[in-house]
Amino acid sequence: MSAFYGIIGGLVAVIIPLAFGLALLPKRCDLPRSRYEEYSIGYLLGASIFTIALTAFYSLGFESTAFVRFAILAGAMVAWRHAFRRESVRVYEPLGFQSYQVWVLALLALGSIALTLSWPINQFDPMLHFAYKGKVLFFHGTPFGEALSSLQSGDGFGRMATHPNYPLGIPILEAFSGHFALSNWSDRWVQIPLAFWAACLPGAIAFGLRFLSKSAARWGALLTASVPMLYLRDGFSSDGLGGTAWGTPGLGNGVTLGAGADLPVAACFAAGMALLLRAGAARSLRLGAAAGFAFAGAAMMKNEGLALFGVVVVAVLISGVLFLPSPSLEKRGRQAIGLALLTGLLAISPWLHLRGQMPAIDENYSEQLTLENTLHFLGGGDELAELSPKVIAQQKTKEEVLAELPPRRAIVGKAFMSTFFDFATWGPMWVLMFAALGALAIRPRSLADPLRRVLAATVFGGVLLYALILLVTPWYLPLLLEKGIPERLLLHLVGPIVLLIGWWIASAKEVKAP
Amino acid sequence: MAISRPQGIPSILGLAQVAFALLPLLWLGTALTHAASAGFEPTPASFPRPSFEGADASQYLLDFWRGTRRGVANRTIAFWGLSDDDPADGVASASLSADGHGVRVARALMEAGVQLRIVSPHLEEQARALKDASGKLVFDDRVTWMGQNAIDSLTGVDGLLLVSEWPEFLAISPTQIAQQMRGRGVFDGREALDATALDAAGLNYYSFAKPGSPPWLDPDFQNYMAHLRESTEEDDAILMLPGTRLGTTSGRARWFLHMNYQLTPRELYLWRPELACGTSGQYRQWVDAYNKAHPWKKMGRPQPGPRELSKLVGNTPARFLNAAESNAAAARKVDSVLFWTHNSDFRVSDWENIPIEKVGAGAQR
Repeated sequence: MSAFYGIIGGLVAVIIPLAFGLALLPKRCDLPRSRYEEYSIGYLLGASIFTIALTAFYSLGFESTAFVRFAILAGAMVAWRHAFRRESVRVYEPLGFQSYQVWVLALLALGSIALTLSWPINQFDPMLHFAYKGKVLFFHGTPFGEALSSLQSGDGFGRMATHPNYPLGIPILEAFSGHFALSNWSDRWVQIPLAFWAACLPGAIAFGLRFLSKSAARWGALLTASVPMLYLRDGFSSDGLGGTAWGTPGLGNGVTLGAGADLPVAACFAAGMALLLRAGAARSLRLGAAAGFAFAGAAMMKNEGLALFGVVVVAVLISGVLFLPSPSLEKRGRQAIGLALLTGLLAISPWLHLRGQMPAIDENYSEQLTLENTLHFLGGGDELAELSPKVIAQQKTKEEVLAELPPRRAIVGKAFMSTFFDFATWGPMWVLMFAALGALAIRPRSLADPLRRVLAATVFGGVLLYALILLVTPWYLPLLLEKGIPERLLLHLVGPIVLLIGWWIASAKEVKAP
Repeated sequence: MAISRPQGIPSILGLAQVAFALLPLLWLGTALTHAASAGFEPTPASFPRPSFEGADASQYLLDFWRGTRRGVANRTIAFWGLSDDDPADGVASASLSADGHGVRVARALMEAGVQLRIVSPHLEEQARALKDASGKLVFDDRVTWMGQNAIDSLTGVDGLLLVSEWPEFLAISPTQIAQQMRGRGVFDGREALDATALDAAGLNYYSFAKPGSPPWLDPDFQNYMAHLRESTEEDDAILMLPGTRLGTTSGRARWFLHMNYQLTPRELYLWRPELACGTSGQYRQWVDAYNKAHPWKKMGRPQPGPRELSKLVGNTPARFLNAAESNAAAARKVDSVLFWTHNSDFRVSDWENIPIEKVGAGAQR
């Protein structure tokens, strides 16, 4: 019976965000879209709004009581009614997929949902960094209780928590799944609202590209869904089919699906970029605000989402979108993009307030990312060999480890190069991205479009950010590489990368057309 | 999504798109099949077989005995199995190499003067003829070949080392093992023996396996969690204290993290959790800091009485509290104190949860 309640609770925790997301989207007559796109972008936007609102609620010191849960349910019902009653146009726009393409997309989506739920939460990070906080919210209704905030106390004793200042997006979705399951916490069923990221991501990309052409939208959706990293990394280890990763598919650190945070960051960030493009193109302030919510949603899932929002802000500023007039982006379009940034900032601020009150025990990258550190490692600075497990275990000296290692910049360079040509993990995505960037370099006139400039700058800035983070990391870098870095970070950029590729495909077809 | 009917043969581009999707489709299908075959519940069996850490084993055994009055020479140990082969692959595929972990441990122990009783019926003939790189026979007269007599091999031995997890070894009851052996140490190279049952039989269980599965799936850990859930209330506050010096910085020894997750909403308290729960570097600082603070020193030990999970008494990690610990327990209205011996292998005998009123405050030795 508890499984039944768990499934019901999880589904309610999906339907509520979906209702809020659909209600915020403009009418279909104003913004044409297919049903697939609408539900995909609606869920990602709704999950962002839901987690932003609850984070703001907690940051003010409130607790999620039964009354609050009832109010959320009532609000979702109103939102649902609004989303469906306002539409004068009932039909959805077709995307024109062929039936075999629909089968591929459907099988990948259903497979990703089924695999997420096929195991209970069973990995270190999802369990301890996120689900523990979910349990705290579920049992205590607030993050400010002793469970998370008493890590450091005067007498030296306290409660245990890993990364107590990690964002609460995933814990909120898990906790409310438990609440709506008549207060049953299940390590398997609280994952239901976390099972849809990979299924929604291709729909969000199609939504973002449809203003260019239907074929770009179709291509983008299929390319996104075909990126193996959405589901796993190291699916085929160097040992081939008989390798360890193949022997235990769906288990261990090599799986992206599940209750981890990298896939939701990728999904919400992709939704933010897609909404931003549509906001600019459709000159829609409503979509601009929605884009801001989706960017903030990515920041609610993992700290990297916050850094990526910073990349978007910089990309918008340096590409001059807000200030330089352009025939392809009218004033209202520029306002929509400005509103996206403003909404994102406002939506993130309650989290920053809450975060400031939580103890921090993790690495502080804003302290690490200094010019001095960057120049040191760029200039050939050595790896932090003293942090090597072999040195710590006194199996080797620091000098012996250093003798086996190239300078850190070479390790970072090698890691990125091997990622770019790892087709088993990324499919053709990186090759196509370089082709798209190459096309921009060959035809710089393409960059006259301000939205395309923002997109290219975001992709470039995102990759550069992660390269810099690896360059200055306070960890022993070879150990990080074993744990799936930089792949897990670069996954966050799948959305803007595929949008850029889609734009290239759309413009290439335009050039070819007589 | 509106679907248009396929018109003619898919384009090359369309086929390429589908081809790219084949890899993730194939993987998702395999992963789901794997999950279904495991009953959708992860267990250690769903993961790769634990590997035997042979170098650790021989070093530990020798150090262990060197620290005793009898020393190493003339010790006797029973070896169950000799090769690294997975018994699941069957007898026919079993083979022996002079570089195998089991053989290397055997050689290290023989060189230190330890007598071996080896039970490896499938490979005995091969082992007797096994030569090292210099052409010398690996096994000499310090080895007694026991054929299939696993139980007889235990008579009067100082320790038992399981190298291969053949079913016939696993079928032998811990009580039988305890009755036959003189020493108490059971060393498991494959994490295949039932540590809880061995503990209950009065034996000391040590694992030298490097598990392929995550720590929270350890059956002994799961057993102990079930025991704690039954023996404590949901609103209980529990103070966790290492009973003695922290002997390892192994990340796998951080059982308190998994306990904290599994026992929530019970409130678990720890000394300096900001270090203990931090990065691997911070965790090592925590181990060093605790050992420097040595709060266990001069503390007497309570006699907690027979345990629910084990009849073993006298090997408890429990101790009395010092003043700081007593104050912390009082300030947090702690219901019980969970003592442990810090070990990367989860052994039931390492853990003892005692109601606060029975621990006593400040009772010094």
